Amino acid sequence: MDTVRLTPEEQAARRKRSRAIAVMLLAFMALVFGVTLANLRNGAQLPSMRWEGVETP
Amino acid sequence: MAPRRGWGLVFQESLLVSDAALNAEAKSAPKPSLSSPRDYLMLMKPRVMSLVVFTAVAGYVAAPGPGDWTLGFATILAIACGAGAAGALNMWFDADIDAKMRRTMGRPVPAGRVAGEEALMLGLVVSGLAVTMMALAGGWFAAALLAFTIAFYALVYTMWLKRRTPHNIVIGGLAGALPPAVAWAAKTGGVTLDPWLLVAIIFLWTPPHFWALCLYQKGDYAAAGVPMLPVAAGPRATRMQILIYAVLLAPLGVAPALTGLGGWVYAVVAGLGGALFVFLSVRVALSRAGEQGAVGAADLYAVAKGDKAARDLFAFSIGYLFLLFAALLVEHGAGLYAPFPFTPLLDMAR
Repeated sequence: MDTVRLTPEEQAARRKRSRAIAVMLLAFMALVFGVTLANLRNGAQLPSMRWEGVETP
Repeated sequence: MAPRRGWGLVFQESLLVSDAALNAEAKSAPKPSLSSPRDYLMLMKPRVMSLVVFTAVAGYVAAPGPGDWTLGFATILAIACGAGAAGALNMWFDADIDAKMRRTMGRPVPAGRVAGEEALMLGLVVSGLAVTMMALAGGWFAAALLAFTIAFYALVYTMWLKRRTPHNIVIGGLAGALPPAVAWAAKTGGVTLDPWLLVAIIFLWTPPHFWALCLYQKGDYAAAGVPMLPVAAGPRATRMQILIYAVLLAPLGVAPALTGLGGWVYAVVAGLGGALFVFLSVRVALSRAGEQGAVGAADLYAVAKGDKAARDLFAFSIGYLFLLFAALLVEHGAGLYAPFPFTPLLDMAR
């Protein structure tokens, strides 16, 4: 079966893109983790997590 | 009677067929890309993104409440990514007209560095991630407002209005105006008069800002068939429209001081800046900016001089908006807020 043979430039470009995607995914994971912690820390005061009619300390 | 073929032969033939199909597919497959991460960053219009981020940060800092650094950072990042995603969708859809304009022909899609489908997928995926992040950091209302902003820019402005009406930038400008309200909603859970004033300021600022640019770039838009106002209605009508918007914008720029959102610093900046904005717009209205050959097409410097008033207004308009939001940022972020004594709209804003 014929496969596409990448030139060194194409291989280098692909490697750069792969690294960038990996960095972005890791950053996204870290951000979701950080936001979750912040929501847990401030939860009751935040509008996104406020329950109508429930008194918060 | 043809001999019956065993299952082994059928299997071998199917392998051959599959192989041939794969070969054909490989030959017709798109070439491997040489695009770099920088090309994908350029798809997200980083310069536009920087203005969006700045106004959103000002909106977030000026909104009442203690806020949270992590959630604030995530909110601004979500807005930045949303703006970038909208930019990528715009570049995907507008690649054909971008290729015809000098200012945009070097963009990744028309230059062939990124495939249109990649720009589309980047826009869709990043839009989804941005709205999801906003829902986590700022709640569903802010997320819905961000989704609306992205959809408005991509669908209403890019796909519907841009190629159809000379008022494309007027209505489409709403997308660029909403970020302070999105940030405000993320911090407080809702929007009051104050963030809507910030939206209205950017909304009224956008047309004179872009039309001043278009006055000396209209050849590009005409070549691409985009009915920007200077192309569709002519330079004279455009200069008058710029003046009308400037006269409306200047008092509106001061309004946040009258609701108590802006203090003394903001009031002074908005008052002086608005007056200068109107002055420069009057200069444009009295000039012959945008009229090809008005001062002698053979003389390069004379042509540049003819457009100078429009260029001055374009440059100042950027500084004006920056100073307004910087004043809010300084007052609320650095604790320099000193209330303006005349606040007749204070009750309406609360």
